[in-house]
Amino acid sequence: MTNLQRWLFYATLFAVPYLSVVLGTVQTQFTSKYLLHIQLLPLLLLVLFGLYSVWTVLYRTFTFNDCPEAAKELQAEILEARKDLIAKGFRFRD
Amino acid sequence: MPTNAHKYSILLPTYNERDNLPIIIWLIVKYMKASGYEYEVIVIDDGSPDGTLDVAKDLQGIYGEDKIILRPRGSKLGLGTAYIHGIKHATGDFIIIIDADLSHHPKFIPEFIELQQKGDYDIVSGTRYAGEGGVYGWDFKRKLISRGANYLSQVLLRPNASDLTGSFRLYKKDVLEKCIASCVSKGYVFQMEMLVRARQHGYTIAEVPITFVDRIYGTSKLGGTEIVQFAKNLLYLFATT
Repeated sequence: MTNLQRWLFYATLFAVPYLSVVLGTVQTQFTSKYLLHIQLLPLLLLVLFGLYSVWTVLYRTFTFNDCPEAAKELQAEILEARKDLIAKGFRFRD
Repeated sequence: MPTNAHKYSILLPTYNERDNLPIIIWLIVKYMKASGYEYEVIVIDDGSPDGTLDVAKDLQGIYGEDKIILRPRGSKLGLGTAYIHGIKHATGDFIIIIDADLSHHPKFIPEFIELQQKGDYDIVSGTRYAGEGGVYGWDFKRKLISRGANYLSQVLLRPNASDLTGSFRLYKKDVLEKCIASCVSKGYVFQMEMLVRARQHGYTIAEVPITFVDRIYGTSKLGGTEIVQFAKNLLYLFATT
């Protein structure tokens, strides 16, 4: 099953009972009482997923490690490498 | 010294890396020598006009023809084919891919090897997104785009790895060959597809947190075309894998 098929599969699992309630094929006391809430359910889920996504991405962006020590270490090693390579007879082209 | 019966072939595709090549090779030699693992570096230069190949030849003279192997190609032909070209000449049973622009530090290679041996993993991938991993030289916007793209890929593709677009990895040789053979995309998204294909084939993936120091020499590339290309390939992989 591809990812797309998997998503469609879950969407169908949701859509069948949802549509049967919204279109009135299935009617119970509960569904009649909360019909508006049920109708708005997909929108609510979408908004929740959106909020979760925005929160996750922003949180991960702000907690993305900066590594200034890695850059510093590299700069020092570049100097060391240049010295050592020149000592070995290498000619830098810059 | 931790030695084993394996040999590690480090593939180094280059294009206009005249300034970076001597440094990256010096670093590879430094850390591989200290670790004691057997290795070779295969430089695949795609006809750089800046004389990268001449620099590579000089380095070969210093470090020896058994350690530095030159397998240049006439023109820029893409990363996937560069790896295939390199693998053909690799004498190791493990392949390590690393960028030549100094954004990946060779000090992590022994960590990759140790982790691979611990769990007999098929792939060990460097990750900027987990544990002590991170980046240097990225502003807020760049981080946001990177995190956003990564989140989207995680949601849509369910890979078994946190860093899909990284290109610092260790593969078993036959695993790399198989993954490349099943890849259709080129350029920036190629690395992402490699891990998606790995998941399809049922290969095991482990991760080592790495620090990513964005290009010190030269400029980094992330523009509108890259983002569009990324989105297109993401949807393609979503629909087909």
